[in-house]
Amino acid sequence: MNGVNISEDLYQILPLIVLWGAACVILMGDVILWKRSRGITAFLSLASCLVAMWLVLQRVVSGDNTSAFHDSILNDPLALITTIALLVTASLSILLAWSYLKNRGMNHGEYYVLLILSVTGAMLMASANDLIILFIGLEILSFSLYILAGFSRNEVKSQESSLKYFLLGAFASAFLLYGIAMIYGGTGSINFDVIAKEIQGATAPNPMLMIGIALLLVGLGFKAAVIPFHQWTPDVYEGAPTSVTAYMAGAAKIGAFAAILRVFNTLMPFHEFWVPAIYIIAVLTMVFGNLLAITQTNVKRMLAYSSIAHAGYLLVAVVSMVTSNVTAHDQAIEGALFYLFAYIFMTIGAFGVLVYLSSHDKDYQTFDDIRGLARRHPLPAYLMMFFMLSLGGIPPTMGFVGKWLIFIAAIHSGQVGLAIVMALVSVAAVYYYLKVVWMMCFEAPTKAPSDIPANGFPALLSVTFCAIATVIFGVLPDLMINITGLIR
Amino acid sequence: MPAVPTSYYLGLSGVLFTIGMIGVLIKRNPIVIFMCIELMLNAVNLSFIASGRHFGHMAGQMMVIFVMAIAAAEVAIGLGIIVAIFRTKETINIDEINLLKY
Amino acid sequence: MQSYVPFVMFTAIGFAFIFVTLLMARFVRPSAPNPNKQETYECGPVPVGDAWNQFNIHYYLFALLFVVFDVEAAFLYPWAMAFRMFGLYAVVEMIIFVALLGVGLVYAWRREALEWE
Repeated sequence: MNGVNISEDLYQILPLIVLWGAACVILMGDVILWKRSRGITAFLSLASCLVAMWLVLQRVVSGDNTSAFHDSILNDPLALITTIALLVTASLSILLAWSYLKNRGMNHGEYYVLLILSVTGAMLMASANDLIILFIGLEILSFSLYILAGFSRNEVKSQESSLKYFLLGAFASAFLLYGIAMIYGGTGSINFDVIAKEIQGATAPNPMLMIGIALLLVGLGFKAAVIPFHQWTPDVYEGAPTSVTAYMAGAAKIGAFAAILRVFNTLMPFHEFWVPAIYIIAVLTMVFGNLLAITQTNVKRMLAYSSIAHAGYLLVAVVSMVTSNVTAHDQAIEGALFYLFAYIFMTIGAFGVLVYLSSHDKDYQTFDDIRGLARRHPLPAYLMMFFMLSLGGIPPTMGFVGKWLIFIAAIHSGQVGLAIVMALVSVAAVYYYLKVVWMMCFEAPTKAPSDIPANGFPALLSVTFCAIATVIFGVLPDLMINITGLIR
Repeated sequence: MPAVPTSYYLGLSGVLFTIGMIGVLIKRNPIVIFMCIELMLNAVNLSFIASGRHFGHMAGQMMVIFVMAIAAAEVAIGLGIIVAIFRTKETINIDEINLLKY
Repeated sequence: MQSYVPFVMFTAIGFAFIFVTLLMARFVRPSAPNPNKQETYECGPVPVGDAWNQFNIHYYLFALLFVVFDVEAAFLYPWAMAFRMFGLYAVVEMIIFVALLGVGLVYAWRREALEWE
């Protein structure tokens, strides 16, 4: 076979190989060598994520990136940046889980192995240059998440969320797969480069492609949790163990948006066909995501709706990508990437505070639990306040800068209407984020102060890291823009 | 004997996919829902093979093998989840699995 | 006619395999017939009666493990076809693939999924 350069191909997926190898070794070690000492499992998982991150960063610096495996994998800057975001998410989640699992009585080594495997799935999605690799990555990510959602074996809620997630997720993947089959039937290829060449110059898709694009949007929209494909989100986020929710909220969204950005960048010639669809979905997602969040009384559920709303802001960036102005196009992608980073720090931080507070007999999640928190546990309460302000988009936090970048990109590409909707709903959203802050700081606690939370140092470290990142990149956004600007 | 045109296969695959989809929407037993999802995946497989044959390359068939592997993994995980929920709840009727709602 | 020779040989070896195995088993095994053993074998459950009875949950575990190795075969066929083209690379690749499935089996074994309580 010509053109098969195995060592080069393997070098391109080295971070993935490291993680896959680590997952196998850790799984075997966990059941054979160091039974019952999960500390080693957790530590090795964290170490493998950090090694993979180091490899990716090295690649970003050296800039030597080609496609591998017959163009089915492409490590372009977009893929590398989203991969970094994914590995950050995974590392932070491993730290969060460390003591939480022990306290909640589900301290199994499989947790970390599944977490690593799911992050490789999302990484595969991010660097897929081929629809079938995209599908395989999506499935690796989803399968691990289905199991993680049901990880608490004695809680019916957790089991139920896992079943719901699984049935709806499998249903959505079938749609995605049918979309892939239709696109294959319409263009004769599954490779993004070939598809782009094939449809160059065309303005309207043929019927088969049209069905294909629509079904692809359904499948990816489900993973990204946008309205009207969002019904699973609040249930699964509420039912899953909180440490899993934190991870799921980050990784699934990054993977899905990496794929959406790449797929619709490839399908750019047909923008007249898909832009109206995404436009409507974006408006629905932003408006209803925020409205439904206002009525919630459970923090996890509220954050679930808020994560739906954030997916809406990201879709604004996807729509803004469509413009003849090259600068505005890059600006939109950059804005989306910056927002993804902001989103993971804020969301993992907010869920992380709940993880940190949860103890052996109490899972923190309702509004009653956090009422008057500032008096009982000042440190987590103030950290939570940072995340709420950032999620609400109040300066000088990362959430504000992210929203601002997407807003500007939307204006530059001529989507003024969308930009206005986004600004209006963001203002409305501040209400429910501030409600949480108000409840924590100014309302009387409904129960007596309890002991210091037992979830220990690693979780606190992870949450603090998120808080510091939220503030630093909020005050000095250039640090992050230097990284996201690599896509130019 | 004239070959069967590709559009027939695609039509059949569309019909099978729709049957599977309707099954998912109206059935109440997770195992049956799950079988309907498998039907949808196999309908997609048919259209992959038909398109592959139409274009005369192997890619379509290769994809079917990957989809089959993924479907098998899905079966393993799905059955595992259903068994787990049955152990804690003693029922697998979708209408009785309703702790989580707005 | 020449081309049928492998076919005939294959058939003969196939039949011979069955008889030799059964015959060997006949000599090696202890003979202790009882009514349960005399019944028609149907993978464990009672062979006569309503088909809608509940199966032991353990069957699902074995089904799950079976599924893993069942699909392995689907990958072995295209591999065998392309084997000549890639040589050593293909061998190593398949060893890794099978080893990964082996990891799954070892895991199931260590977690006592294979024990029939």
